[in-house]
Amino acid sequence: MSIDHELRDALRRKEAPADLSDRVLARINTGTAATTPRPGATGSTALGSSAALGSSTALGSSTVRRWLAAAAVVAVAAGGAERYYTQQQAVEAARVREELRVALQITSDTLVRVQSKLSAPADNGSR
Amino acid sequence: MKTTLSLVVFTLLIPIAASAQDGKLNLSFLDRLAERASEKQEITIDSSMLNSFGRGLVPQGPKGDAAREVITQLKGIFVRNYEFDDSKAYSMDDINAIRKQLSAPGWIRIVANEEKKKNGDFELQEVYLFQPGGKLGGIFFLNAEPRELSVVNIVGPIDLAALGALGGVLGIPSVQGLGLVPSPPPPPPAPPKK
Repeated sequence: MSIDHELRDALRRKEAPADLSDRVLARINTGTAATTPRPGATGSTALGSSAALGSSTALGSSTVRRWLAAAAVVAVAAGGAERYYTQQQAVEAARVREELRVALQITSDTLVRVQSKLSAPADNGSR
Repeated sequence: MKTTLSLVVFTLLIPIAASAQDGKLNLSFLDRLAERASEKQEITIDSSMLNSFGRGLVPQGPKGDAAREVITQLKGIFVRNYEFDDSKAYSMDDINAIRKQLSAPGWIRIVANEEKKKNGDFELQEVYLFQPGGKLGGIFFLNAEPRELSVVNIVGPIDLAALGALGGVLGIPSVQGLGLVPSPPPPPPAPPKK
């Protein structure tokens, strides 16, 4: 069979079942179409999917999913913020350590100068 | 008029006196010297920085523990070091603004050396301890030379011996001798060889 025939068969007009309009109206009225699959249907139709979104169960799981996503975003953001804060603390600690080292070095140099000035007359006198 | 002027001067001196009460000196008088300096180091390590990082600043070990003990009790370390190309870059009046604060109660000058040369140059070395009520609250070093000025103000319970404990910990050589910092006890004599 050529592809033309297959295509023509697939697109051939088919009559809708006689009870289709009743079933659609019944689903709309009950609002629980997702939980009452059409007899013989193996997958959800477009109508079934959209109705599922509107159902309370689906709505609940969707809300939970949204909250979980939000919680995940918050957790990732908090983790990132903590990591950034820790890194900043490390940088700041290194800066303070270096400043302390320089400060003590200058203090030491100043003390050495003071000592040398004080010891200079004594050294001269002893010579 | 005189009364008003006195009140204004008194009001202006209150913050200086107040800051000198806790061993911290107002070093802002030296800011104008920074503009003339060819090289400068200005270090301000306040109590919050020491509280936050004090314990992690020095490595572990017996000497580090002693240094950490000293550092964590400090309330601030303030250092100004200026080098000048011109030997007349600053005058005694500039440093007298700092020295006036040291006349506040509690400050004791323990070392002083002043030299005046014929060409007008001067040298001044001073060490002060802040001991209000006999309790150590700070230390101040001043070294003024024609082309260099160093000022160190350490606030907190520290003396020269405690300062010596910091030597050799952060790559700083120990400062000993002349009685300024007590020398460590000599090592015990080696047992005689049989």
